[in-house]
Amino acid sequence: MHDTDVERRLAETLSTVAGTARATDRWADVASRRRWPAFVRVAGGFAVAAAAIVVVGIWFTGTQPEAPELAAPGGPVPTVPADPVAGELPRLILDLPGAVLDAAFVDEIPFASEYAVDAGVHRFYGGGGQAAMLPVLELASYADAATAAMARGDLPPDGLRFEGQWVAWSMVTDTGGWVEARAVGVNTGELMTIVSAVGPAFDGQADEVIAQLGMQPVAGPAVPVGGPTSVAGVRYLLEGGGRAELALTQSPFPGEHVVARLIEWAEQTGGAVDVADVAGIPALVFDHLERGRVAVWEPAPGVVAQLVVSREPARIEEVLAAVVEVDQAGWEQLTADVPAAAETAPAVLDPSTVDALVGDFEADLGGTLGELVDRNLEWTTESLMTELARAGMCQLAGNWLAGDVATQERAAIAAAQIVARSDVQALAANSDTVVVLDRLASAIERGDRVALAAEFGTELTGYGPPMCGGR
Amino acid sequence: MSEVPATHVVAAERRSRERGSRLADLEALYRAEHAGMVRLAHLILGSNEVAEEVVHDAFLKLHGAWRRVDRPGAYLRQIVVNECRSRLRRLRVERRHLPDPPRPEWPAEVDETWVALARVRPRRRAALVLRYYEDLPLAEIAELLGCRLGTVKSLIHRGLAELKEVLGDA
Repeated sequence: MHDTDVERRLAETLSTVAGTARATDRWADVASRRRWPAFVRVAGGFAVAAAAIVVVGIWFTGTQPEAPELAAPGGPVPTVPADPVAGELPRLILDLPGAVLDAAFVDEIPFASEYAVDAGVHRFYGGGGQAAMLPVLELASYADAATAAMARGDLPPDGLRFEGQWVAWSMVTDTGGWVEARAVGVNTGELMTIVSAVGPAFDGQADEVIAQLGMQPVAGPAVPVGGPTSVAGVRYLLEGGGRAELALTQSPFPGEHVVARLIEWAEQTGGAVDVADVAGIPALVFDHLERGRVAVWEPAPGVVAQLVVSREPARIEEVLAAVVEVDQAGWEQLTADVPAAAETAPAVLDPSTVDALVGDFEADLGGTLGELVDRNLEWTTESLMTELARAGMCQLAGNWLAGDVATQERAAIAAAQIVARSDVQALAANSDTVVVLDRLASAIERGDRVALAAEFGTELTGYGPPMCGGR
Repeated sequence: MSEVPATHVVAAERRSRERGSRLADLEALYRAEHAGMVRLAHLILGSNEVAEEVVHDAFLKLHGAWRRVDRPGAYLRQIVVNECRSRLRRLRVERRHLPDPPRPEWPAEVDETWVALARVRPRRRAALVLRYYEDLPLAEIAELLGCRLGTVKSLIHRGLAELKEVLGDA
């Protein structure tokens, strides 16, 4: 085929596809019913968020209007408005001074992140999956912020240590669970902390890390993601006199368990729990608002706000129903199921999965290096490290998306560890990175995994079970 | 109650007018550029739903930066292209694990080329789309991709070669 033929075919194809692009829009039917142009909705989203700030401000000063009773377990469940967009704008709470926001929530919603940082949100609690996805999206900023924090002396120069390991990113515990503590910044580079815990003994491990970090209870609302991490984090918040909003996502533990535990702790501590459901796919809040997938009802006494978000409208009802079912089924039965859920996670990945992981990682690494070369080596040490780690992260994210829960959790661990490995940092610190890059590129071209492993230490060949939970 | 100084009222009214004007300008830009940006993003990403999200995000970012931006249209395009490249990297991995989404019925040649384009590396693909769909000059593509003119030529050359190789295998 002649070059001009390729160019012609490409131009024709792009033109043809572009012509059908809108027609393939899965939201076309929704878009056709939109009452306002999208920008108006965007502005509306900001307005709602701004209104929320005012509402919260009022609440904090103790002048908020009287709200209906909190739906006690077994009591009446707040009604989801048939059309939450119609009538009074729902209260969207994203911006609470001293609040704790779910990491994934903040990361995936650009304006929420901005509001959160502006509002002084400084602590994030998130589950394993969310923790893994964070660096996929914002690795560079986190790594830079962590480095800057250490330079400022906000972190110990040798990182945070737990059980002898550097845990600025993550660690694996001897019990098969894992705990993750991060000292990172978002946008502003402000020091932040994320605590995640997954595993049979997650509560105690999270507490240990919290103690290790010298964290203080946060008196304020929280929006953690559902799962054991959130459970530990929210309990901690409640015990500190804080309040919590709960976001349920995919979790190895049924959401009901989380809800039930939080309700129990809330009752014990006098705190309050709000329930939200956030589908795993990034989406903008005002999209949800416009599409009627957000339901927010009036705050109850002692509750800042309650929010349900889901891509699937039916999920809103499900989440609300789950709260009732939890109460009806009884706490004992639910807690009895928790260990069984935890035991479903195998100790290590099976060999074929590990091979697939490594193979795909190599492919991504090759592509990344190819791109670096395309840029005429216009990269820095930091960008090299970032690109390499990002490639690994993306692969693991893919695996995370495709795998079962157990695989996802372990991929998440590996993803976090890949940037924590001293070998990667050593690579970044190598002044002669061109030579390193050349050797890496050459090894990739030859398909020489042994040479790759030599350059990366155990990053590639040790990528499976040793890094994925089984120490 | 103390009276609000007249100068404060005037300043507030001016800010309100300015804000209203900005919103009107942004909405006009949205109306003019939204569909085109979605098409551009779709061609780079191969996914209309992700393209919609990318463009939506881009307008949000533009809204936040409106005061600082001299050429909103160019800035918008820059955000869209950057965001597409970022998303594409992730999408490529996801697609290795997910089934292909259904495609409309296109002529065989178009379908083959579109599938082949999906295998071209993200940066090269972006360069090809900007050149052969947007018909942008090389210098402008270089600006959008944040690289040198020579790099753009290389990206396009290698992208076409990659495409040719895949099509030749088909």
